Amino acid sequence: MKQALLAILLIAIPVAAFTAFHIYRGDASTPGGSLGDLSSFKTIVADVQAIAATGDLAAAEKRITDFETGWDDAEGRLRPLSPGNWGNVDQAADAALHALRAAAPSADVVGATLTALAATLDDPGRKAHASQTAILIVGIAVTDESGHAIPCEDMITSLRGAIDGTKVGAADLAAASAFLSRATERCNADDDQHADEFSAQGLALAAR
Amino acid sequence: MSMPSASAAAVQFNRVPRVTPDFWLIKLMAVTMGETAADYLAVNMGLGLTATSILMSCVLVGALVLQFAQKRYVPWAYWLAVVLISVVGTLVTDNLVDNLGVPLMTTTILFTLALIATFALWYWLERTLSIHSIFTTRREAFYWLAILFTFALGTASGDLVAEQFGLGYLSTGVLFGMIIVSLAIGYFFLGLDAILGFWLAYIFTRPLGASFGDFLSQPSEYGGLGLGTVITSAIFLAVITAIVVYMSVTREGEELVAAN
Repeated sequence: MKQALLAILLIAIPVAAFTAFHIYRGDASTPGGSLGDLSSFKTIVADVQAIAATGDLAAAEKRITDFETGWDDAEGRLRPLSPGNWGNVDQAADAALHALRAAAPSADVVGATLTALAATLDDPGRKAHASQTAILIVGIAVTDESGHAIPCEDMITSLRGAIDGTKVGAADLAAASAFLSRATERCNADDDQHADEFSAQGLALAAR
Repeated sequence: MSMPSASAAAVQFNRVPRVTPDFWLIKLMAVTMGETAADYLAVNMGLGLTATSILMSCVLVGALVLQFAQKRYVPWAYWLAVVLISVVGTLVTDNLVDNLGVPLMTTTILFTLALIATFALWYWLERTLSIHSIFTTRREAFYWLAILFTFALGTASGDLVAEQFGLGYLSTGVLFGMIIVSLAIGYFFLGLDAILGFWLAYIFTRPLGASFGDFLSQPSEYGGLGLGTVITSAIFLAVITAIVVYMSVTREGEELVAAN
């Protein structure tokens, strides 16, 4: 009994110290750790949305480059504030950039990724709902009804099948293959959520 | 315990190694190798989780038959079994979580109970949990069953911390590293029972090894060193091979048991 207590104590002490350190640093994934004022980024996204709505995706792509530059410049300042929240926005921004820079951008995909980006900027702590963003992005389910991520191995298998059977052009095929390798890499790291998001984007390209 | 002076008929070999620093080093490496191999088969080769699980379980059974046939500690057979049991232990958790949708919290509790039950039965039948007197097939079976559950539990608890609580693998690695250091302090200075300490450290080196492997192999974009899985696996395989050769030559892990 004494041994059991000692063992529990020996495990609890480092866990407590670690937790305390993270709370002190404020970068635990628990809500909090605000990224501060993101209004300049929200303005740009609203602009891009307005431009994209007119159908001029080339101009929208030009405007989102301002977001990309500003976001990259601010990384050193913003990321330490809340790595988790920063990552959520960064990922949503990546999806929008990819959508706009596709060889033949789809207005639907662009619109959906921009909506997701705007929503993430409004509430960067939406990590738990990030999979829902993926559903929005390409209309492909990446979770089951309970919100549990689909096994990334299964999504990758579907994506492989889609790439083998696709008739899309070489550029889209290359982009889909790139998503496949990113999904594979995240899946290997047991990061099902990100892997599934990449797979879904690849599937959308291959199925076009 | 090891009394070479006992009469030849009463002396048996312990079938599992003594616990030395290189035991832990190779265990840590084997864990990561195992996980990388499983990922490679399931994801890169596109075999999928189910096929990989069946395949690796068959290979594990083969390796265990080899290990049980040795009737003594032979480094290559023992560590081959550990690597494969690490793969299968990981796959058991992955299957429960990914294919059957069992929450990680549930699997963590489930494997904790399974491990406790294994130890209880082991102690009830053998009156000891000593890892220095594994000289019957039944004791060895308990030993490997406990190891299988520690790997499954280590995977579940590590994934639980990394995913549910949103910590990256670096933070996860630091956390489990701290727990192991704490257990070591407990063993060396505070009188923590050697067997209890051994099994606890065995559980927690699983997530530590996985985090360490991810840290080396993951791209810098995700906070890793960007060596890639192939180079990382090659490094680990080289180190494992070197240690196994060293162990085979020095025979330092061998232990004699005075059987009654």
